[in-house]
Amino acid sequence: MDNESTYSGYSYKSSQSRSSRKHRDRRDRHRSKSRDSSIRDKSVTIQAPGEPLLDAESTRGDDRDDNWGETTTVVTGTSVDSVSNEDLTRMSKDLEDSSPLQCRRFLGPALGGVLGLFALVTPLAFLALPQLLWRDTLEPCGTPCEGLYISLAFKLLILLISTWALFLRPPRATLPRFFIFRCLLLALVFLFVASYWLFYGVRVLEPRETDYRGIVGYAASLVDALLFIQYLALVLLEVRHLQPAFCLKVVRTTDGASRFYNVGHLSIQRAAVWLLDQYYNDFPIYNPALLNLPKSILSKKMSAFKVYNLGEENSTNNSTGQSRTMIAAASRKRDNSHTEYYYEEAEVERRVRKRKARLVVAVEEAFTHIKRHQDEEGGVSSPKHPREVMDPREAAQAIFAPMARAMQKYLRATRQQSYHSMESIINHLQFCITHNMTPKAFLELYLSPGPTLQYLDTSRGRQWTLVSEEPVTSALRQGQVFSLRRLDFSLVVTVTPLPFLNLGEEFIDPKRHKFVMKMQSETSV
Amino acid sequence: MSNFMPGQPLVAVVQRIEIKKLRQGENLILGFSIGGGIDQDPGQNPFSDDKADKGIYVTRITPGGPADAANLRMGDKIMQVNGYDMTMMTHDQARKRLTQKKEDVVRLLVTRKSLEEAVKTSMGGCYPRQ
Repeated sequence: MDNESTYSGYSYKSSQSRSSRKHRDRRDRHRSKSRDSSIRDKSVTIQAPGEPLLDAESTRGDDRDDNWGETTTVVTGTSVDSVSNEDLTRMSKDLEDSSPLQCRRFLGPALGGVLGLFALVTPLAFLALPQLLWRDTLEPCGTPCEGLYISLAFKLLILLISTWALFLRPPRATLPRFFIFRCLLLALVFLFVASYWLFYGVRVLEPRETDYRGIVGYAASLVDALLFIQYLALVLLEVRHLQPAFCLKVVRTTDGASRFYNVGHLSIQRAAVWLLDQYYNDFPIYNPALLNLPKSILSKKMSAFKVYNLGEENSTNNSTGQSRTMIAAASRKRDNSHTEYYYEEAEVERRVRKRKARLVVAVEEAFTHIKRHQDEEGGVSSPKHPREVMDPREAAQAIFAPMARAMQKYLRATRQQSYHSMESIINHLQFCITHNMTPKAFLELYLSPGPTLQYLDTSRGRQWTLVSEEPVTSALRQGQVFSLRRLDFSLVVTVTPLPFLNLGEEFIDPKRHKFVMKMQSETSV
Repeated sequence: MSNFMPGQPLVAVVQRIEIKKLRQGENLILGFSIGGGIDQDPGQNPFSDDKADKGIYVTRITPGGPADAANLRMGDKIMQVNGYDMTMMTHDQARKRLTQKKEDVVRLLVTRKSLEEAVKTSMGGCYPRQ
């Protein structure tokens, strides 16, 4: 079966196969064969190369640790959005995808930075060059010049601070095409400064202009113009898209999780970046193990009919006819796969609830074993058994033991075991103990699938592909559809404009609120 | 309608009206509508003299129906139905009294303004009034 290989990182036990030692041994031997015999045996276990990480801990010799090490596969460092540990080539490709080239990220901002610096230095150069080159012939310029100096200084300071605040932020994404507004602004600045330099070169440097006040005024006008360009940049880059204009519907292709977002006037690529920020926040983690119907239900439909060729030589004709008859026959046959699916669902839900109850009770009990140690100066009474004072890590390890089994079973029931290794659970426990959290707060991480960001290793970048029929720098329009693709799933985005709101007014005089008893009811007899 | 003094017996000139119920489908209808009752707002009553009167009044007569044939008029105040007093009834109780499924015939005692006038003129002013 083809689709088994995608989910082979997980082992899920059906209700029939309990974790008895005998059954486990049998499963160990049939490890490779059990992939094909999905009809009679529902549990599939694949030994994955990621497991050696846990073997060191599993040699403690406890029963539960053997269980843990054998059937849990841990995701380490690669992208958690697609979890398939068995294919090494796929893992390496994953590594490439998730850490893009570091240099390219900073190319654009570097260019902008250079241009900005050049633009900032220019007024000072305008002022300094005459002083350096032909100081003697300059007309002395008294108070008006000093006033201009002060205003120039402050404007430059403001320009500097706002440039730092607005533009000197580390970029969050690399876009596939040029960011049009940013390019426009850079070109504008360059053009501006270049034309000012041209004018300055021709009219001031060449004839060695002596009117210094005019030169200072010229430099001040450049700074004014730069401030206005910065205002333009603020409006174009930051403010214009704040007013919501479109509603984007985002649907994840694998499990149908969907959200609606309001955005303003953006280009497709900018909208995609904004959307991905929200995606990591809002969408629950994509768990490939939770998706399909159990194989036993689906395979029964297919294996029910065999079609025999009775002497016909025309093979192409027959294949389509064959499939058509199979499909027609399968649909006509009264199949009970929906009832099986229903009962299977109910069974799974019941099992999850039972394990959750056990987990909650175990955690509550575990938390009662420790309490915060209050420092008592001078010792109120010498304690009979001096309690050993532990730091959070040791306390976490101490109370992890009684709840480990319940936790493991629950994670396996909800197919979350790959997201939480034993180490991470102890870390989380230590964190919760340090911050005085209740057992319920500790369990919050495990009881519901959190947003994708929670499971992410944030040191690496994420590679997404924007798939669109129109150029990605075009603005959002009604009815556009584009999708953001990763390796194993994609997000399909549909754009609809927000409706135009026609707001009317109705004034109600507060004195008009009056009430009467109901009209005499009239009944016909 | 005569003034009603609480605690005093009420004196009124009444007319006896007998209405045979008409069967329509599975319902027995009388062919008129009532309004009023002790749980209703008496000020809304267009037919009563005394706007504090919470009695049951006839508000509409279906033309050609049994009530019309029996000479019931719009604005009549119903005093009794088959012997049961209707002057202190809620609207719903009155409706139930009139629509008993087991009764084919209702005998009403109704009063109206014109009755008093007629009695006064015929008796020539010697009618004892309290």
